[in-house]
Amino acid sequence: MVIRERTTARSQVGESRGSFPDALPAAEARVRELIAGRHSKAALEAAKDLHKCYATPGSEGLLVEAYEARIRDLLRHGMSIEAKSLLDLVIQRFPSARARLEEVLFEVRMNEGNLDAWVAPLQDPNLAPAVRERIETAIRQRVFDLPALSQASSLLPTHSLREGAAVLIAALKAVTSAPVGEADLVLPQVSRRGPLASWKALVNAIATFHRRDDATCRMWLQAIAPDSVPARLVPAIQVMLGSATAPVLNFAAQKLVAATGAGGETLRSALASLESAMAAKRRPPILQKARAAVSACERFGPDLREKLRQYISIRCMVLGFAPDSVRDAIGGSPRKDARWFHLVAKAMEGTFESFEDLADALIAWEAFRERALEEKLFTANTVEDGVLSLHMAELAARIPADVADDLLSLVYRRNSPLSKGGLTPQRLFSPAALYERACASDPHSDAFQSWLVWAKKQRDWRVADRVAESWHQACGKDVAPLLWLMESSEKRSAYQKSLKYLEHAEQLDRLNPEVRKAKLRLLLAGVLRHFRQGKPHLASQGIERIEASAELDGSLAALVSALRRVCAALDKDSDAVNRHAAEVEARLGSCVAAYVLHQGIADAAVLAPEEIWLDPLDMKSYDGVTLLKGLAKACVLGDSVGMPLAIPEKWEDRLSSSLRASDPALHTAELLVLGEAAIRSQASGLAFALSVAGMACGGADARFLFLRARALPPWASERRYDCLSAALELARRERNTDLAGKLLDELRCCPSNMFAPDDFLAEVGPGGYSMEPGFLNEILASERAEKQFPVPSRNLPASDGSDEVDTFRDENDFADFEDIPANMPPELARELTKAIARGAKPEEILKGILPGTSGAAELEDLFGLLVPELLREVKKAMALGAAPDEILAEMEDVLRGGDSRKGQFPRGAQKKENPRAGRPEQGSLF
Amino acid sequence: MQKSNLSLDPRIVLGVAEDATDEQIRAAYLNKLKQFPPDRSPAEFEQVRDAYEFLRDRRQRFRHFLISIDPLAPLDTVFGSGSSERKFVGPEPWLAVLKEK
Repeated sequence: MVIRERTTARSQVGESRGSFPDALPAAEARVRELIAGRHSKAALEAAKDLHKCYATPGSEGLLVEAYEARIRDLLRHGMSIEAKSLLDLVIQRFPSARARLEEVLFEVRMNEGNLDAWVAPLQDPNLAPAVRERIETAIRQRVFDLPALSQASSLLPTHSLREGAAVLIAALKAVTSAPVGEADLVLPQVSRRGPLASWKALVNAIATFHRRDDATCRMWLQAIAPDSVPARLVPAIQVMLGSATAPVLNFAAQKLVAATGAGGETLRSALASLESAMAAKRRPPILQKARAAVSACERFGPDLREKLRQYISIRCMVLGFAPDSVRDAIGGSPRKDARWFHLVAKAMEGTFESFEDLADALIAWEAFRERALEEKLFTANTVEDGVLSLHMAELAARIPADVADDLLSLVYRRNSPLSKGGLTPQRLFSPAALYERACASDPHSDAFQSWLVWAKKQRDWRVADRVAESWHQACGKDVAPLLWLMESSEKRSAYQKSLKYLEHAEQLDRLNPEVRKAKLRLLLAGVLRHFRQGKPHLASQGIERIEASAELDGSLAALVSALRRVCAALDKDSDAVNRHAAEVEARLGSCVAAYVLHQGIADAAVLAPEEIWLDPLDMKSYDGVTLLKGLAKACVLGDSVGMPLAIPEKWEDRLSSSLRASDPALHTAELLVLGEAAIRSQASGLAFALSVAGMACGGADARFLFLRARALPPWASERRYDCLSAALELARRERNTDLAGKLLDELRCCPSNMFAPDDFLAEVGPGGYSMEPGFLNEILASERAEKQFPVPSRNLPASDGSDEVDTFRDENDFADFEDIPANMPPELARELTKAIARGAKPEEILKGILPGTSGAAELEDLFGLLVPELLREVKKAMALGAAPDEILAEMEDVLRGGDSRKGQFPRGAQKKENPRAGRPEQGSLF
Repeated sequence: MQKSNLSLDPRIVLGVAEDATDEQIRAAYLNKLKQFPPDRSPAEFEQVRDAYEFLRDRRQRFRHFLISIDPLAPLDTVFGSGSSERKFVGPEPWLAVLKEK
């Protein structure tokens, strides 16, 4: 192109030779066109030819212009030596052109790096303004070597440039080494309009950056001329200020940012922006911001990049984004290491909406374990392994067994990260397997305790016994497993075994309060058993053992006297009866308490009041407060010795009305113990009234809300749930972990909840039990205001058109059944409640409960459902030899038509009741 | 398991990393004791002591590690809680940028 142009230009010049005056303008234009097109060599050749031809001032001027362009081209290509040589030649050949070539001369000198030569003209006070401006512009745009400027020998030491440069050197060193105040950076030696003004703005910007005065820093950055040398630092400083639109920095700038440690601001800014986008939950901005955040992290925190990608990936997974889109935004799939699965597991736990999420969490935890072992975060069968397995076991325990079976099939259908080395899905969802692994890895009391708590909830008693045995083998000095085994043996009537465990526990820790309490309870159970068997002499021996084993305070001494009274009654020794009765009254300080205690002993021993010569208490002789206080005293004693007492028959209404009528001045502890007794006795109205009194006192709202919740009828399931949730929130605030545990158990197995757990999973999940303060206060205010026991609304839904009578439209039917579910196994209670709501008939329900086959096992299952009086009758019947089938048939008859509390049961072979005759122990719980 | 009344992460209280060893934890504890002796800073001393008691228990420490991670925590607090200091690095790194066009 250039050769062609040159040839064309020459030919054009040659053609024009013959007629110059006409052809010159065209030739000039041609040369200028070449100069503008940066074809300086062609332009120069053409200009030379033109000047050879015409040799006019015009052609000379054009030639000089072409030379100038050529020299600039050479400079542009870094050929400064050639440029200088050519310039010298031109000046030599065309001295008149020197003035015109001043600028290019200056550029040549600048390229030589000869700063002295650059600035030398500035020493001339008569220097042309244009030249001065050109030089100062060049200084502003090109001089980065302040020391060289401050030492420029072509300027006097007092020249403003030298002084200014020196001051700036010192200031730059100062602001990059330590905090410098604003007053110290006035720098009067540096003019605001001079070529070094941008340097002054720069040192102030750096000083304010370190002072964290970002707004002022930005102002100083704006004062820096964009074409100046200091402007090269502006992008880096903007990044360090956390600019949202961080420019790409060169290597030196990146090093500076990393060295100052201020790159984090940009990263934090990008992350905050991403967080805002995630709060809005719109996908395109989230993915865009994610991309920017990862990019910022790559620049200013490369060691955090992988972690950030994992976190972003998890957050997007929770938001439901497709993995592909996230992968594209964050530059690929995140690393699936231990931390990844840790995050997944926690995310699944945290966003619990269904049991499937818990299952996913378990799978993730197991995968975490495998990766953690590979990465050597911890070793197998160590404390850490045990802690992890325990956590997994507690998680698995929240999944109902029937749901776990369904989840298994789901796991098999999906791609699971489980490898062959880990637990199989069956064992992964098995709390027993996980607890076993936890306790094998890290055998300690807390883990076994947790396992035992779970095992106790299983229907098969052998599960808990096996756990206790394992515990005892692993931690031989713990008494807790022995106490459980003792209690379990006692329940199965294995008394010798029970005593053996007790002895073992005593050998380990005789002074342990739990051991002493258990011993007392076991001995008392023995005495009661002997009472029931009509063996007062053996009972008397048992009483002596009680006296010998315990330090008898007032209430325990009263218990001993009460037991002796019963012995005396069975022995028909009226004097002894009266004497011991007086002792009981004296030691308890209350006739009411004495009566309740005696009644409780009779109930526990399955004896009728008349058998122990116990006359009914004349309630009219006592005011309500006396009755309540006496009852409370007796219940406290009963609870302390493991013999929970019931509210005597027909006392409920009187006590409830006493509570409603006036302030009974009962302590919180008394109200609570009465409340538990009322719940045990299925006296819901009384329990409710006690909760009203308790909440009026204030101070124990959590426990009274718990009481209130259990007192509510089954159909008030939502209100019950609210009370339990509110109580749980209060218990958490009080750090009352025992109460919180009971509340959680109640919430998870809410027998009065008409719906299956799946229906309210979002609420019954672990995160869903927390309560907003406003809602909590609403519930508290609402419950405090409620003084009356709730009754069902008369406006029940219309029937389905059937002619059958809706059996449960009658409140009495509700009353008959409302207290049964409270003691029923949760699954059964749920079905029962649903059936009631559907309007099923009692006999249908009963047939559903009793599967059609009868026997001792089915009858024993019902023991927990029956009111104490009925239970006593059933046990008596069994003790007298009645067959379970007969008893069940009689119960059905009673439920069908009569009052269940007054039903009479078959006696089997008719025998005269002889308290002293031996009774078979079949089917007895004692 | 021993319950902790710590309101702050015990690691933050003692100033130790997530993967700190027993020796590092103990060293940090002793260091904090010098800063907050019980007679002069009783509240801080108690917090430091509780944090140490918590972390020296290997079970509690690992359990805390398992449950304290929050994948849904704000990203700017997870990743941006590091040092926001602006170090003084001297004039050379600044001048190095100026030398590049």
